[in-house]
Amino acid sequence: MRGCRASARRHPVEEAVGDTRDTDTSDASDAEEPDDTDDTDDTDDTDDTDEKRSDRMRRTAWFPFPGRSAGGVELLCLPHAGAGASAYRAWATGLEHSGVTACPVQPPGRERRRDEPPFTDVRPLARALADEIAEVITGPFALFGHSTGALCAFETARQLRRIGGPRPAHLFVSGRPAPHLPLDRHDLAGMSLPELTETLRRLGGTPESVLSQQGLLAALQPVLAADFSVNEVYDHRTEPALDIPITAFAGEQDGGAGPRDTAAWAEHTTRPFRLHVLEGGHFAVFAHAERVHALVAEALADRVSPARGSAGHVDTQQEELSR
Amino acid sequence: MNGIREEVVDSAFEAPADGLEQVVAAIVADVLSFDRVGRSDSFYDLGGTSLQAIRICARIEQRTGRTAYPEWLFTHDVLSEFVAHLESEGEDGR
Repeated sequence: MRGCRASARRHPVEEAVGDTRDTDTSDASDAEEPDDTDDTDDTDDTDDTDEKRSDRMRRTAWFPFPGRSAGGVELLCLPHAGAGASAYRAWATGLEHSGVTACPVQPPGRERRRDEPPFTDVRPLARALADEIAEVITGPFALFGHSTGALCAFETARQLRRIGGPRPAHLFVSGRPAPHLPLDRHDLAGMSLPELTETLRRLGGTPESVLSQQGLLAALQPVLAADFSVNEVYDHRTEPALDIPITAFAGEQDGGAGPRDTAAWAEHTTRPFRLHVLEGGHFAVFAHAERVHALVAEALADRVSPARGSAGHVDTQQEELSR
Repeated sequence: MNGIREEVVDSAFEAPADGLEQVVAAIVADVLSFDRVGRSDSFYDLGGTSLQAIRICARIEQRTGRTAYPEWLFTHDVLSEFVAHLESEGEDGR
């Protein structure tokens, strides 16, 4: 089923920010923000009993916002280029009560880990993250990755298989063509600021409010360049398909990772594959977070006793338009 | 409802000093949806994104007339340090 791609796919656009729900710098934009709600809990962290502490996954450099697991499935969320774990902080609230706990992943080189050099190659990143998962994650978990994060999640799943580590219940990928499809290269590292601005503007997906903040772009350039390198300087090697179901999300108007390129992820699993097409562009998965959370929770509902799909059957059904 | 600061910040809460620290702390807490933010808290621990940094600076400018640049929240991520930087560098447009 592997197609012969004569032309390299256009690179999925990346955004220099973590929060894509709001592109307006004015105060009025705050009204559009979903509430970042949380359970009311008057208990100060220092008053926690040991029993309560054990319910929470421990905070590490890789997992700065572990949330409260309470026995559910940890959804390890890998961010897009230039972004960090903060991009998913609001997902903790959105997934509450679903049995799924969002656990944003922080690769080195950004936010709290900005003093560490970022990875420029996905394989060492996958090795480091797989080791961390094997060390820290004790219960059921799944991987979610957006754009560059999708590739990282995929290679991490492969690495976990390689080392005989804990197995994710599910792989969720968003905003990236299937890994065997080649991408264009955009070498951001050596670009001048005007060049970088223009490149990001041309690729689309970075709000003007960020493009207009030259100081911010300059600060983000190194990690953007590294993340683009992770995503693009990647030589895909053929390995047996994962024995993990894959669910993919694609923005209808995402020029770099549209439904067709995303459907090709189906080749990488022997278990059921589903594609959900969302209205919008590259960041549709964040714009439609509520729907995505529902679909994720549904996909993970049988985590306790995973349904055995027909071995070897790849189900590429379901193009759903999310309105 | 807001997030609880103690769930992401290990250190004890230190009340912001009167004046600019209090104003900035209130803005940061509001934009990042926390019940409160202390003067020793880091923008990174609070999970702030780049877009939120832009929003915070826009509000600081509206409220105080001082120009703040979002990347300052990256380089001076501790609130008291950010405010000190703002005091020394931020132009007062009023």
